[in-house]
Amino acid sequence: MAETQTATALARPPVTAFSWRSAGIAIGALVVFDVLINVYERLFAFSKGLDYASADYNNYWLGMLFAELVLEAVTAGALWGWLWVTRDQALERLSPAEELKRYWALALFVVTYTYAAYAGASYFTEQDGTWHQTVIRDTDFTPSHVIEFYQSYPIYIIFGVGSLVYAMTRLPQFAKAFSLPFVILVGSPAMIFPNVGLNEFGHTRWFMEELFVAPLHWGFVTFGWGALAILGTWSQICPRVVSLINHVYLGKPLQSTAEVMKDPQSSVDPAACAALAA
Amino acid sequence: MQYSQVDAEAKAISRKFDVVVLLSTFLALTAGFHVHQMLVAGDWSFWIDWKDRNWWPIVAPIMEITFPAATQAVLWTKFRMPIGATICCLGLLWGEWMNRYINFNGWTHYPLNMVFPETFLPAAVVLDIVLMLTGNWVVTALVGGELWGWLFYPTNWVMIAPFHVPVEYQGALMSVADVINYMYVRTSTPEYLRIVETGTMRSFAGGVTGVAAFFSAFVSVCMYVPWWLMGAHFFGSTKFFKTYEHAAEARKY
Amino acid sequence: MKKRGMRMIGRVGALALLGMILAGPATSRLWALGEKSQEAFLRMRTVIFYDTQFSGRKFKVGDDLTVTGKFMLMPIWPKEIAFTGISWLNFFVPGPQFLRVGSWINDRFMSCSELLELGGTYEYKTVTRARYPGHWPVGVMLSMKDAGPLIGPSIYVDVDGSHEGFTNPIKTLLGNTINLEDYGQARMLIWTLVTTLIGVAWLGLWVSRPMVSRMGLVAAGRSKELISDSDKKVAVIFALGSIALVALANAMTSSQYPHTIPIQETIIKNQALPPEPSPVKAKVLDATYEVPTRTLAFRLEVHNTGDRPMVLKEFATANVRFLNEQIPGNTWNPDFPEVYGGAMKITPSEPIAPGETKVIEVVMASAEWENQRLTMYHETTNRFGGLLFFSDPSGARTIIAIADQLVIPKFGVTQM
Repeated sequence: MAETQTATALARPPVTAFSWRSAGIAIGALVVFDVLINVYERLFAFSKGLDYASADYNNYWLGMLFAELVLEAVTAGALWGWLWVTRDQALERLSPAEELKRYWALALFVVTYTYAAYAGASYFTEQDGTWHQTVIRDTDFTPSHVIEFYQSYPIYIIFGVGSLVYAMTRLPQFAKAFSLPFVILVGSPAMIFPNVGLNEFGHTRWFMEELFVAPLHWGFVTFGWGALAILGTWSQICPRVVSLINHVYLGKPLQSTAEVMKDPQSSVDPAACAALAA
Repeated sequence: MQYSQVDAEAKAISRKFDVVVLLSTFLALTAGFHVHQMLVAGDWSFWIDWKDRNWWPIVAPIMEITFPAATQAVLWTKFRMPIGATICCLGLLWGEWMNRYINFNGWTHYPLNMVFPETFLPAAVVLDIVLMLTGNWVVTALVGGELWGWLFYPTNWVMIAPFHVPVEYQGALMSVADVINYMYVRTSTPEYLRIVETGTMRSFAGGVTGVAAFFSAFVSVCMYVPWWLMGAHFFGSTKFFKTYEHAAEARKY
Repeated sequence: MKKRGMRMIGRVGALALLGMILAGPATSRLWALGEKSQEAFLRMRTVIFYDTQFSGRKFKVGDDLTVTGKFMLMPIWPKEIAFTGISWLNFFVPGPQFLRVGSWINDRFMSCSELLELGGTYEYKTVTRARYPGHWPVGVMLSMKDAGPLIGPSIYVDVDGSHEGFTNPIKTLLGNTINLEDYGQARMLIWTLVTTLIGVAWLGLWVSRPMVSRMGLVAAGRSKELISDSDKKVAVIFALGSIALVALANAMTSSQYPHTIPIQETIIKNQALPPEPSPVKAKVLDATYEVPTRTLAFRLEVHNTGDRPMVLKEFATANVRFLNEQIPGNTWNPDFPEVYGGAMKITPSEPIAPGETKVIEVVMASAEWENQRLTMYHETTNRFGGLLFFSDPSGARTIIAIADQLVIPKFGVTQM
């Protein structure tokens, strides 16, 4: 702890800085979107999507696939690019109150990511089971895949990578070194998307029937384990957050941001944050 | 007065972070655990006629002690929260029910009694409590793992017993579960895909369930250990690796 | 940061809505099971369905739909596809909109998978019952272990009425009648709810306390403060209570259900229909597929060993039928569940007299070769199969399988 800051006359962030609003809007929008997608699937999956050689399939599903892929690529590029372009280039001078506010924003970003990951990896993935066990597998781009693989997965990847880029561009802890758990938390589930390549090759080559526990599917499983890294990610973030609260509100000493950037590992020492619990 | 107000504000904000941590952990675990479970043990979970007394009580517990062990390794060790297994299994159950109800039942019209999921909850609470009371993960693996394997089938038998009542259907002997499978068509999962008990155990006069649970409990113990270690040292790691500058410097040489 | 994400969501949502509005009532005809994705040689050389009849196309909820017909497992199975013989006479329907009341292969009820013979012909019947109203594709198919779905003819049916009040009663061997639509459901829901509440209560006990700040105390070596003696007492009650509840519920279950059996699982061997006497021997000499005119043509050497003149009436493959329409009355009926390939031209067209051996040329020019994706000139194996239906003047039929015939594509262009 080379430098410490004292607490006198620290500006506290306004209570409104810790609002749920942005996550509420983002998750609310995702929920509404997911409901609409479900409605679309119920209306047109069985009626227009059973035969990939038909004109109906082309209109209702293949068109949607191309549209969503373009939209996703554009959104990902825009969001990540914007986060990078507007990055904080003077992190050494970041005030503790501002840093705390950014952790809150990061927390909301992460919770939005985890909702999107839930929708993709849990809800829409099992929905794909409902589809496959019911109908004959005829194309890699079958209606439930258009929704699951090419829509719900990219959406959580956009939020996941976005949250990581947010942390790397705005928070001293993540600005100068890679966080192992955060990279796993974002990168491992993201790999589920390219793993679709294995799935589709296997199903096209060997498996026409739907045994969900087939070893072909275990790539998804292994990458899904990465979700456990939420535990390590919070284990890194929580001590710093508690230290910041202790400092901003209770005047306890705080490790400086420059020091954190130099050695992020030191910022995850929970002993430094014991005060609040006491 | 002023101080206590600040104190309260600090506590409120800390509490808000608690909520975000819990909510995001719940959602992330649901995502990861559910995709894991459905692709290593899912077919047994989806269908009533897969819930046999031989493979289901082996596969389901040993595949599902994984996330609980890893989660306990962090939530207990770092937070002293004895909820690792419970939060995982609640998440899994919620994730499963969302799809069983909305899609299997609501969309494709399988009756709920055909597609309801198994539950791990009593076993998960017991696993958390064993860790809490012993404070020792090796003992938890040994005692909790055994209890986990042994509790699975009895917990779920309460729900599936009615489906094992015998029926003479079109001149064949079938269980109610077999008849449900037969009548409620699932086109891409023909009967022969089922991985269920065939023949019988060669001794013990058909005492399949006990032997299966015994074996399952043993493997659950064995599975607990690597998953705890992965949780503690990999997924729960707080490591930062290589600063970006170091990486850039390394490239120069 | 969320704006762009939301804008994207908005756009895709708008697109989805637009799609729904444009959806309209436009419905095209059948052929919707995805069979076209399968390779042509697979569909032409594994299982051929024929004589397929669906008992109707309009139903009310509760009505029975019966499908009958025959299928042949072709005598030379393509080596590229596994043959295990372990089969399940399947019924295509997107979800249990129809119940399978029963299915019989050679009059034998199919309670579990059956072992069928290579080259065997089987007669089947499937009875289903309409369960949900709607416009549904339904069809027959044979699922074979390791080979996958081998798809037969399909049609669209319309089901009127309402699912409300639909019951599916069956009688158990214990004498009571149960409704499979919701049998055991209340019990399952209550037990799931009770056990879940234990978990929720346990979780609630802990998440109601501050969490993030506990890290500090653990790190400071004061973790003992975080779990009190009364916590431990509550924990013991939870653990023992959970175990006792499971034990008690099991004891009750055993007394409520004293007679239970395991899932029934076995494989039944089912013999093929005995071969019928065949007064015709036929062999394909050579075959070509002309790409520009979409014409399959082959020369067939036919030997009539019987005592009546024989004519070739039909060629059927992969649910497509080609008819020799020079024979009076041998015309297409729109009720047929297969695809009409078109007319089959035979030269010379005269019947094959008893004892005669002659070579006839069979020509089938049809857009369906392409529409149904039955061409092979882009595939690794260019061999086709199908069934030839010969008939004598009384209508007695002889079926000859072309199991494995090489076909040469004619591209009709001279490449430099």
